[in-house]
Amino acid sequence: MPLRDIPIQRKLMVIILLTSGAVLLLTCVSFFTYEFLTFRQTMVRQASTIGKIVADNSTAALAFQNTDDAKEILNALKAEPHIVAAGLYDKAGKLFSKYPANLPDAAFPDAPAADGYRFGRSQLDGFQPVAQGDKRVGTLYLKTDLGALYERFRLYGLIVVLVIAVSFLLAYTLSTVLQKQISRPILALAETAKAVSERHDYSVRTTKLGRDELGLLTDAFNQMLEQIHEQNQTLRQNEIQLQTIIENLGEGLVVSNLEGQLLHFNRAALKLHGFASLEEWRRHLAEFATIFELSTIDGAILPLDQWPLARILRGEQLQDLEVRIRRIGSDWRRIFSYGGVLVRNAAGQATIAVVTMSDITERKRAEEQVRQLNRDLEQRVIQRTAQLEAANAELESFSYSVSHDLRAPLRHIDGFAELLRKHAEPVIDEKGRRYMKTISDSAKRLGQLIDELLVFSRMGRSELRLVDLDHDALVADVIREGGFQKNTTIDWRIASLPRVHADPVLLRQVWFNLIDNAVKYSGKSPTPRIEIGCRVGPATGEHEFFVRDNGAGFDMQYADKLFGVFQRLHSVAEFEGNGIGLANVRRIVQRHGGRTWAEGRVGEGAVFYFSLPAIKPASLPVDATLNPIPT
Amino acid sequence: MNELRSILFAEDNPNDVELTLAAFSEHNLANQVFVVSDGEEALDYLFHRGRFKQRANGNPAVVLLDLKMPKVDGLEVLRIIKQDEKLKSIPVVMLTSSREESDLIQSYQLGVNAYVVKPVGFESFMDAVKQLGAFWALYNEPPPGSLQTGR
Repeated sequence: MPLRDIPIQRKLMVIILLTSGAVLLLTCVSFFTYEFLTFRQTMVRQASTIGKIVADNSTAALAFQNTDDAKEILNALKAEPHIVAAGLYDKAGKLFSKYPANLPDAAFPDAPAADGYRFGRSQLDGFQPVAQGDKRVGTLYLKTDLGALYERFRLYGLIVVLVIAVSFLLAYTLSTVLQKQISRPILALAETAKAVSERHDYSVRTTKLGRDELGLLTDAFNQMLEQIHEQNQTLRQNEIQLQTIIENLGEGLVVSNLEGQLLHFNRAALKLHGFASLEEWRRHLAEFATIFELSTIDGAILPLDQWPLARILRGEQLQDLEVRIRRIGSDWRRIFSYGGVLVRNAAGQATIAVVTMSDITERKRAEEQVRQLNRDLEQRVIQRTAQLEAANAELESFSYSVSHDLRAPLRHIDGFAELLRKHAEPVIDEKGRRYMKTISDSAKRLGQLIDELLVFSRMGRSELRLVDLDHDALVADVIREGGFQKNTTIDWRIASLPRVHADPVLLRQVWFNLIDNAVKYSGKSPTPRIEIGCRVGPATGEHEFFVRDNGAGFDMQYADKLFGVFQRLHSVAEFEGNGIGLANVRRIVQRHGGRTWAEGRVGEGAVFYFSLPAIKPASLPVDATLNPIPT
Repeated sequence: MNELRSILFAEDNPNDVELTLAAFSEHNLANQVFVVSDGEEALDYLFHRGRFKQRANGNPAVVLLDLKMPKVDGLEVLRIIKQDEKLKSIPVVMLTSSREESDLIQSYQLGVNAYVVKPVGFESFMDAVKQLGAFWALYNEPPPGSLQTGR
């Protein structure tokens, strides 16, 4: 197994042991070599020292060919157990004496080799010249056993092996303990990572063991896990929310892949289609088309490529597409309103298609009913309008008759009364003339009443010409043209009035009648005061115009009678008038869509109001200030 | 007064006729007034038909028409007069009780020369009729050659 594949714990151990082993080995080899070389040098030096001494001592024995001396000298070498053999060669190179004496000659070199010390396989051979002064007399041969060397090195070897063994043991023990500092956090991280990747459990955490880089790594890892965990939870939460929303939507929602395979129906969609189980809808669109038939509202059957989902899959965005849906082979028929769109990912690629649908069958039915009702209503309106027009025409012909036929006899009464007066002038007395006059006056008065009644009737029938008009100018005109300013005792207080949308001729009539009334009824007050203004109705938002006077006033219990035709609260003798003015006011205001009413108190004055629908509510001054009319 | 200026007066109500004639007589115009009691008679007169087949040629100086009359009403008579080549130059005055806007508008659209509403008061009425008679029968110059020649 290659090093990179073995577990980190063993990897660390191997690295530590290999490192320490290599260091130890190198150390031992160096030491060993040094020792070896040093020891050899020492051996050579010792051997050469002994050689020199023996050679010096042997000079005489050799010079005099004295074997006994030579033997004795060589025997002294017993003190050196390593020297296993020694021999003295004479000048001619012939073995002269040997040590130990019992050693066969064959064990010695036949002739001395060159001077010096040389290591053989298991011995050190040394050749030391023996000289007397400058004269060489022979050669000493020394053979030193290398047993000491080997013995020593065996010992060294043993020590080295022991050291290495102990070192390894120590290294192993130490590394076993120490490597945990590194391997444990890494293993823990590895374990956690494995748990995360295998179980997808992002809630596990690694314990931090120190504050070193591994600690940082653990922290970072845990933090990453935390973030992933939080994001996962948020995602999950969102997914649940989305799922809950989708499932509880009132609208049906169907999801399909891009191939038209239906992937999901929400609850409403299942209910809308009348499905109970997955098997019923988990199909391809094409299969779906064998169960249902779609057609337009007008009943034209839609081919599959015109189905809402097919159109969405082609990239169309649908909204409020009304389609009839029928279950083939049954009488199940509904009308759905479809919508939908392709869902795209962040890169803009379409991923799925979403179709929404709602059942609008009832709505359609209701709409049809409303349409039918409208048709009926229109029919009825046409009928009623015709009836109303007929009634109007009748009324018109009636008032025409009144205008023409009622006035004629009056004219005759007056005319003939006058003719009679002229004719009977000589015989008629004062009383008779007064009767005649009463007949004439009454006829004229009735003629006036009829004329005004006709005006009133026309007021209700003539066409409204609505224009945006300057109310202030209109009121000022009415006061000027009506000659109301002639009465200089009146204290006028006229506020600025908002513009209105009204018929100028008719509205002028309204103001004339109201101002005329106010002038008339305040005429007997010592300090007559007339206020004209406008306010905004708190409930209706309409403009409420008013004319207030401090004149005769009226009893509120008759307030409703004021606006009736020929209704009067005062006698003609008290205040002249014919009781048609306010009826005209009411009729005109009603035709403008407004209301009329009055407030008053006997002897304290009256306020007459009329409202007009507001056109521009902002145009009314909030606090209408009262301006005296310029004279 | 070289020529005899006649007035054709169409009015169905005898009281009105009497009052109007009374007014005319105050101006000595009564003799020149020819009264018919409905629109049909007025047309007969103008077109020399029926009982007026034998009447002398020539047109009245003015035709006074009441609006509401039996058979053919005043507006219809006016329309026929104003559409007829020979008659359309005759001045026509509406003398009526109606103040209705529609009557006024229609009358003027049909080409009426004047429109007078009969006042209820006798004095005003007398005044109006007198002035009317005086104006059309005395002061106004009729179209040349349209008048009656003798009786």
